[in-house]
Amino acid sequence: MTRYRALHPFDTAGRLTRFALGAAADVTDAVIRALTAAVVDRMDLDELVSRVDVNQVAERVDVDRIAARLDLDAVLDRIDLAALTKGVLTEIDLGRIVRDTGGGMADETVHGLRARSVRADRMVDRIADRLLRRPDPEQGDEHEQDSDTGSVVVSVSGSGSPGSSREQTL
Amino acid sequence: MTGAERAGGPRGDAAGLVSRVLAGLVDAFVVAGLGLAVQFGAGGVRLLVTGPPFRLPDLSVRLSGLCGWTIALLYLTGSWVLTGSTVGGRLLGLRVVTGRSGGLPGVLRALARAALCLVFPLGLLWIPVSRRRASVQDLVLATTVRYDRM
Repeated sequence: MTRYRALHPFDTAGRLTRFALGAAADVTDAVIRALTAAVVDRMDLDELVSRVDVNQVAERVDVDRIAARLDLDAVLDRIDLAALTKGVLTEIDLGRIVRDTGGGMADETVHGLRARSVRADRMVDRIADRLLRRPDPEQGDEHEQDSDTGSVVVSVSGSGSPGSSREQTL
Repeated sequence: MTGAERAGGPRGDAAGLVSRVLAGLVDAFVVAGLGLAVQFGAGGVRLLVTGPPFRLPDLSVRLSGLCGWTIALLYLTGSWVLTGSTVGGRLLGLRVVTGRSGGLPGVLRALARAALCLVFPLGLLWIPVSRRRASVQDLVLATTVRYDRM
């Protein structure tokens, strides 16, 4: 019985046909893959994409419909907003920013006050020099009589910078 | 203080009249605050000892003046001896140094300077006249007030 089935011509023909079809399908797949790869390689995809009107595609997208399908409450429920906020504040160190800003403003204010007072001091000096008919300080006179002690003060200018002058009381 | 030095960079130079008057005004407010704090402290002590109600001490004008003068004297002396700067001086960037060494004044010199400043504050008006920006107190006690934090 078994030998009869093995040698049955229709059965054998059917098996050969299935084998041939399977082999043909494999070959066809391989050929199609090779052809597709070759076609894609030769195609200029950038040019192809540039022909697509993206704006038109975007106009067809119904954002409201997509948004309506989103369940934002469910998404938010899954997020620990308190921990997230705490993490963000820790990351940007908000306290340090506030401290730096406040400290910077205070430093700027104090520095401005000092600079103004120094200018006012110089202005008072200039007025006093004019009233007392003293020589102009900008001229840097070499010998001058000290009004406090009566001693002669010799001015020795250093490298030309304004603050580098020295004085020696003789 | 030569003319060239007056016109130069401020750090290390002797301070002028306006800076020192402003520093003095700030110090006056500080002393007033200290006096108020002392009064509240005395009222608190009285509250603890004798019980309620809380009342500030009712001092005579002369005694109040004496207390304020003492507070100012101790405040100025302590500030100059310890750091060379009072609160006002620190705000305006000023420091009191001795004329020769440039160091901080000693206790006696600072005490005498504080007393002179309190008795005769008009001595500051000598600063514009002086070529080295010295007040009468500076001339008497050989001290200088310099720009320190510019």
